[in-house]
Amino acid sequence: MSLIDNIRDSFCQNEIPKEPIFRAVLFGESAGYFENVKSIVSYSQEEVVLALCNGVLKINGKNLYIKKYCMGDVVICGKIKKIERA
Amino acid sequence: MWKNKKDRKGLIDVKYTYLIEGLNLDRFINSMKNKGITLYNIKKTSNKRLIVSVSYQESKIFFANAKELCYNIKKIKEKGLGLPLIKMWRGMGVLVGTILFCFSTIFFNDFIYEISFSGSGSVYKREVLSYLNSVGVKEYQRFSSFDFERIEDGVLADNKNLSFVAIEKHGNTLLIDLALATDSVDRLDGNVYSLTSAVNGTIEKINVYRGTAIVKKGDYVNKGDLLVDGYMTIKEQTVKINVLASLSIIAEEQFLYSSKKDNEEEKAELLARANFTDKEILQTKTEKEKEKGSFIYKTMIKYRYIIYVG
Repeated sequence: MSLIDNIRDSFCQNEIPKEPIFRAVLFGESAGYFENVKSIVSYSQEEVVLALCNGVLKINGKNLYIKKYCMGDVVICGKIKKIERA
Repeated sequence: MWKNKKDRKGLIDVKYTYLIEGLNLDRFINSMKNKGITLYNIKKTSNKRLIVSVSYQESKIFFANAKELCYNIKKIKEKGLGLPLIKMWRGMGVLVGTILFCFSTIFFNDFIYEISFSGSGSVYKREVLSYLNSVGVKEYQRFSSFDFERIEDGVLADNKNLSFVAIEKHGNTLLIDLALATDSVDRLDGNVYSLTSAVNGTIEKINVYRGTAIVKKGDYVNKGDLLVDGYMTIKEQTVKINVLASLSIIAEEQFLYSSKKDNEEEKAELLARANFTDKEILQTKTEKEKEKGSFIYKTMIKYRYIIYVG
């Protein structure tokens, strides 16, 4: 067991979740930053589907492209019209 | 932006852009992410084509991993401010060779490999060469270690038969142009109370050591004009003295040659020049006129006339 897990178990038994927390930051309609994404299910210029730890995230828009994708962080640029969690 | 180290690194970071062709490109993207490779600017141009950028540092790992998968990968672009540095690093041998070449050209260009003479004064080549050797100017010495203006003066002073010396560098050859001194000086004896002009012309130079100059540089004088008068005023008394002076006059004379034949300008010029074998000729000009069936050639000769008295 790692040190972080030990601390979590000793002090915050049920408060800190063990799975990574998904987070999304939107910059108007032109860009979005998504943290802790498991993988990209599908990608096209109109729709990007991201797989999260618990569910999927659908991003609909126009001229979408992935600006950066590394270690669970995704930056999507283009005209974002709708974000839907399933 | 420049204060942030990350931003600075990002600006000079080099990115390679690849075109990926194949099926299931989403799987490709995810497999690269799982291997820890950061992908930039992912764009799908069609169902089977994907354009992706990877940083220079990760390009080798990207290519190594991508080769294992069933995709066609092709590098289409390189971008970044640091690209010239990377290209220089790749062509390090060429860069070192270029620097060595430039350095050796500059270094070896400074050495004298040959000494060459030209001009009418070349008959005194051996004497001039002997003087040059005495001051250290010889083959395989460096051009930059000599002051050629001083050496020109030295050669002139060393040899009275020369009137002009020019030394210049031409590649690795030292070119020395020599001109013989023409005996174009008229000497008058010391019992001259006044100096008059024997030619028509313009005063080029006048040096009066004893007497009073009547003309100055640039004045036009005619034959017989007074140039220097032999009197001097000492304590409100005028005394007659012998003139001691030297003058240089740019004189002109015209010669006519008549012939029934056409195109004899050269002959007319040669005949005119024959009258000035002991003078320094500056310019000759010949004009032709036709008169009553024959050709009249007018040759104008400009020459330097030097008078020295005293």
